[in-house]
Amino acid sequence: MKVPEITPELLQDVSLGLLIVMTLAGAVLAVSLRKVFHNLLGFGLATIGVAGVSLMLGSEFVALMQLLIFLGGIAIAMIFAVMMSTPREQSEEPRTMAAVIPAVVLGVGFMAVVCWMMLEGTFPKAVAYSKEAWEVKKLGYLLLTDYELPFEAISVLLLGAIIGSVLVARRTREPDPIAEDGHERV
Amino acid sequence: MFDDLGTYLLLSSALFAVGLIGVLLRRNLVAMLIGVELMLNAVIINLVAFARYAGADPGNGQIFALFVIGVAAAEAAVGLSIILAVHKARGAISVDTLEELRG
Repeated sequence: MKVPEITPELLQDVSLGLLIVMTLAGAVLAVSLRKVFHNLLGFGLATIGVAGVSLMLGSEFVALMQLLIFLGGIAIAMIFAVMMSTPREQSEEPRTMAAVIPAVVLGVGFMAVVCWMMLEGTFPKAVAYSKEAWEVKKLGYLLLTDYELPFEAISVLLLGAIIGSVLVARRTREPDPIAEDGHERV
Repeated sequence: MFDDLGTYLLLSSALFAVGLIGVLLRRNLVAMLIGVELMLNAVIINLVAFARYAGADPGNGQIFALFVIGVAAAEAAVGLSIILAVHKARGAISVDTLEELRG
């Protein structure tokens, strides 16, 4: 048996394939498992895979931000939310086929439409990869020149989201009558 | 071999479809939020892939991806605090308990 010669192209293909498998496997686990904590672990796997894909595409800064924010921020906040909610709610009722089939049909149909458009469409040719164009310095320059207004708008959005989420989460009020006796109001 | 735009677009559409199925299928609010985050991840792959393979200036696509990440963070913060508020009021985080406005 002949061992294939290890070239940079081969390594690139193998690592990209592994990342794709990791991303999709993590996503499927994040959606299919019954317990929310296990879903979160799958989501973490998928996020690491997506960050790796960004890295393969050449964008180090986006990969880093992805790890920091999706894994270090969003996934951790979700773990807190799971921990603070009651354990009996972490497991769901078994699903019926009547609920599964339309969801899967819609998801696969969406993917089919996107793939069809992808095959039909033509995209502009790539410019050759240059190290200067992908530098982080370039991103900082763009953020403070061309994209300064969106940058500031995102800052305001994040501030509003922080204040709003604190207000919503810490409001204490009387327990809802529905939760107490288990009956709906008429 | 794999290294072209089609591979990445296929990956991102598959990831988006999985996230969409998750949002439609799950009844737990946190699990639905995970589905939305998967969809946002798919969008980020798309933006960076187009920046790499189809753009005149790769900076623009990366900046868009960064904005998507920022909006995802804001969305997760607000969504999780709403989930906590729902849990405080109802004692459950399933969408089945939220049906007052159902017609």
